[in-house]
Amino acid sequence: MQRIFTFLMGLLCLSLSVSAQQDILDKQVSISYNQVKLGDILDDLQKKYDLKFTYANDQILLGKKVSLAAENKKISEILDELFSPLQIEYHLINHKIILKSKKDNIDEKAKNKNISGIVREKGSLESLPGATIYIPELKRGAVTNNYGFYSINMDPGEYTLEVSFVGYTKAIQPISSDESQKIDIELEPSAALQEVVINADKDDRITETTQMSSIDIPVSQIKNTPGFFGEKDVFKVLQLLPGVQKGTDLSSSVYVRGGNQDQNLIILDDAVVYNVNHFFGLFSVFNGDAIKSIQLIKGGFPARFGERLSSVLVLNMKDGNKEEIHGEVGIGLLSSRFTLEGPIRKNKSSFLIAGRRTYADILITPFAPKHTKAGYYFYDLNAKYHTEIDDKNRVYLSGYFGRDKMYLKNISLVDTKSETANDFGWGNATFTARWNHIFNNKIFSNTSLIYSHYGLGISQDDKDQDGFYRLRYTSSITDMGAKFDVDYALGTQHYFRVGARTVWHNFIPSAVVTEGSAANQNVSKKNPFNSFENNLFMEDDWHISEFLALNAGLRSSSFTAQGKTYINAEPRLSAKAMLAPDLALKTSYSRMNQYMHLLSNTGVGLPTDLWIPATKKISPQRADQFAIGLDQDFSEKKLTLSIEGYYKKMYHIIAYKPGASFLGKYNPGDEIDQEDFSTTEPISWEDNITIGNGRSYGAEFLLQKKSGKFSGWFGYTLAWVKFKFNELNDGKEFYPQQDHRHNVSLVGIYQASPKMKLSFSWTYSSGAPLNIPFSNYTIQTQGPVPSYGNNTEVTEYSQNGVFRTDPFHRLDIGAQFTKQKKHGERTWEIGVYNVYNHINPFIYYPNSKDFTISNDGATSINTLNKAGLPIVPSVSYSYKF
Amino acid sequence: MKVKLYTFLQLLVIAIILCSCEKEVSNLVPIDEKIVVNSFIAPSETLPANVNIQVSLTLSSPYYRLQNHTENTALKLKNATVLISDGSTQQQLIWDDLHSDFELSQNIFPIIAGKTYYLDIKAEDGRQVSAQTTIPNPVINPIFKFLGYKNNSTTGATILSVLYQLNDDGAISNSYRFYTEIEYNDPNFNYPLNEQGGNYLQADKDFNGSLFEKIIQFRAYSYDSYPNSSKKYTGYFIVCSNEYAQFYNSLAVVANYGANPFSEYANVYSNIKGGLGIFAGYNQTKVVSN
Repeated sequence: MQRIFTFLMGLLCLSLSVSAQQDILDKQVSISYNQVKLGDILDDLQKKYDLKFTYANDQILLGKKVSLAAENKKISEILDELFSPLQIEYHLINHKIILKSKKDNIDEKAKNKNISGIVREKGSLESLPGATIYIPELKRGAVTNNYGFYSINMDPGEYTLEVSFVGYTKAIQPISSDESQKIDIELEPSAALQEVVINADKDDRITETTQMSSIDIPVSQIKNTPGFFGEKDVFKVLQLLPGVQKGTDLSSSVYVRGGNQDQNLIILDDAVVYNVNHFFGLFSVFNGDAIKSIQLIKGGFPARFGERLSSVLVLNMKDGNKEEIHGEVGIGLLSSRFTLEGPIRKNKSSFLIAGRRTYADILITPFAPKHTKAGYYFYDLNAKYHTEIDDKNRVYLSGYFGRDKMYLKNISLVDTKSETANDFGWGNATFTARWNHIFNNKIFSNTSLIYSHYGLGISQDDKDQDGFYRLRYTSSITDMGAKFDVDYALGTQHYFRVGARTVWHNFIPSAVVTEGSAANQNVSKKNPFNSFENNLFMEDDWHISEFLALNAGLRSSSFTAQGKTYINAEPRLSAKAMLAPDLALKTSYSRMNQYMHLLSNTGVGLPTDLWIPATKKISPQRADQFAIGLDQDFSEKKLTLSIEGYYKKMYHIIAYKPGASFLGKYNPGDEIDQEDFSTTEPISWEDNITIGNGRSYGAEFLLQKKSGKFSGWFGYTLAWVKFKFNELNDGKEFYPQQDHRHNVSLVGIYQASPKMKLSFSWTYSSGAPLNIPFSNYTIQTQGPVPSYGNNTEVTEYSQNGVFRTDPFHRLDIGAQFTKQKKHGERTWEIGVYNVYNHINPFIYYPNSKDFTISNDGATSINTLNKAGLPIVPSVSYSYKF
Repeated sequence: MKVKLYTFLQLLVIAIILCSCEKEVSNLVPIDEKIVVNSFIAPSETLPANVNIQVSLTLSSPYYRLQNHTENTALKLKNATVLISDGSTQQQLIWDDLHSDFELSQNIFPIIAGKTYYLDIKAEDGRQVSAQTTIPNPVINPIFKFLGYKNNSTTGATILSVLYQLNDDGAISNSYRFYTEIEYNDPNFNYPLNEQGGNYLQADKDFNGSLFEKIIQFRAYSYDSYPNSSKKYTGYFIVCSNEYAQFYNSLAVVANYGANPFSEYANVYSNIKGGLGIFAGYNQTKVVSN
């Protein structure tokens, strides 16, 4: 009985519902539209008559302009008149009007018209990677690739093309896509008061793209942020972003979401840069004057990126101005720099050359003793050539070369023929040749040939009347590779990217050559490793509907070294769901493999850190990362908000065993000396390493003010990092040095007037774990069988995580004063580093005071000291023409 | 006035720079002195007859002191109660002035292979530490041979070669330690002359359960000093407890890398709960070469 009642009630409700639905369509209304876009008509009907239309973007020609007029007609009749010529059928279901294309009548050939082209900077014609192309009628967009190329398929109709890029005035252009066409867009750099701040996820609106955990950093931003001694640095700005942990003060080290330093892939024009440090990390190797764009990806990695576990930093060098010669010179307290760029054939080919050099070594020369010559300097040089062969072919040649050098030369005061010279130098060199080919509007390809080299050299030359001795120690890694990528816009919903890459790695962990006038001094040892790394990838940006979009991909990687081949598959998935017009829920999963390891002594960060390959004994590193977040645009207030949570599990990460060092008994590649009679077995470099796992998790918060007189951002990160190695910390999980629980950054830029710009940055992070000596004690050890009287004093170090350094916090300020001169623009910049003089230590060391020895033992006061930089004012000058 | 103000500001900046580069750390964790234990035990039949169970106690010295402090980490701790047990029987060790340690004869409390021993120490001020170790079984079928010697052409040193051979017990993972004793019987000297060498620690991970053979070469420093002597070569096989092996391996690491400023920090292994040091068992067998 109850069931029958329920059924009858249901039937009644259904009939009432159908009746109510039909009432909507029977309502009589009057309308008049003259050449109005279909999308706008639908919006208008929805608002006026409480209708709800549901349709798939790719089936309905929303941009089609139509004319329609009716007086007191039923809505159903009006809809018939409106949709019939457009081959659209509609159904009323649950108070929603479902629109659908009449398949049989659609002319397939009329679909999928394409708009493609290159987005460039007006004036210099520099291509703009990462610019956003948005079509509001379709609520759909695209992002230019690394070469400024974009391609969008759409149905025929009238649309609006909105092209935007941070630091440039938005371009709005009406288009008709009745035919496929090539539209190159030129964006004008914004006036000084316009936005210049960091831009998350590439667009003004961070909710537009599927990609999460990604931040674009405009080079102008780096130039506006205060820097140490007025030196602007990419990595110092990276350290101010959520999810990025810094090392010690002044260091350029970055740790992304708990990963080690070697887990960051840093690529400059497709070439991997293995060591990013000048001056032991005080500066990074990237000259901001030569860089066009910088993108940091912390998670949700698209399949086109791989090779490292924790982050990808993509840097593109400027192509050079194609219209006229421009340049810039800058003089600072530590270094000077220059940039020159211009056309070789106007609007067709261009060049760029930029260089830097420090001059502390030159300045101290007059004050050095006559018999001693000592100093340090670094220099780097960026160069690029670019030519457009025709509309479909472009070629780029680019290179970077940089060196750091320390030297010390002593001539004996007694015997002028006796002298000693020591050199310590390191540096990177990269070269990339790239060819872009546009097959048609929908297919773009790039082919690259890539060379990269990082080398370290130590030399010693001694000579006197009796003879000579010469030592050469080198360590290096060299890559030679090729890469081929294709972008393919398929239909209105898909954008495919496929590609392949192969690289030959040559590792020389250590090569030693000695020569001397004495017997047995001529020695040459060099043990190279060769390996091959290959990748294939495929990914698809799939715009499923206005509500949902995916980026799905698969990357396969293989690595061969010492006769062992590793093959791995790396699935990637990112998804975006629009919860509201300005609110997106994003989530991602990515698996990454890494076949190279950096052997690094904890906390030292020297250029002597060694790159080594995965071998039979040492497995590749692997990470699985899951992230979820909310992005919200507050368009009217020019604010964007991003909140993300992540969990990353890392496998097969490596570390030195307790007591190990790069100056250990056997470095990578050394032959083990069989006559080394030690108390234990000889230690090879692979035995010096311990393999473990790690995990990191946390939440990141980023609020940005993008434009206006005052711009900037507030970032906060709450994070945990935990490592576990069987041979460290008694096999227990511990917090590594990059575990800072809280990180806060606050950055502001204020354009006080067209001639004056003020800026500040304040950063805070919790203390990091540090192992320090805790106590001394005596053990009885010597002899095979323990016996008495053989006392050895040893030191007990704190267990991992017991001691943490002081919290880090620092305020920097800067002011730029710009003035137009006859031939260009000059800028004076003054800055103060560490304004309130808080010592953020870069070294901790035990110190003994009042040390005396008596029969009772040693008497002293022992303290733990820290050393760091105080307040440092700076001034610099630059002239741009 | 402007000049004076400018000069003053300059001096102020210089003063700040000079005085603020270095500071003492104030957030150090308080550290107490810890009891340090040194004790190795083995069955008596493998040791010289007069060797007792011996436990030596000292105190560690915390590194950071805010006041003047006299440090002598070798100073022995006398006022403590030291107990050893095998799980069923417990005995107290007595302070021995001759060796400055706590001792107990194996006639009273024998150490037996295969058994686990527990050490409990309570100092006069109430601090307590404890540890345990298991005595390994003796080596199986040990063979030791003196193979000969050669002189290094460059250094002139005398290098001896000896062979150690044994059957490993596949049921357990353990480590072996070898060393050689050379006795010189020189008629010109009326007292015993000897030296030890070839000290070598080897884990069984690569030959677990199989025959193990190892030729060890080492330098004999006194070999050429007694040209008229006859020589006797004795090989010692030590089967190490896990604690013994970890302690000596960690000690080798500290000894090898301790002076290198770039090396990772390394602690000497300790199995003392609440303290530092080592309480480890071993089993020793000696074989004279023919």
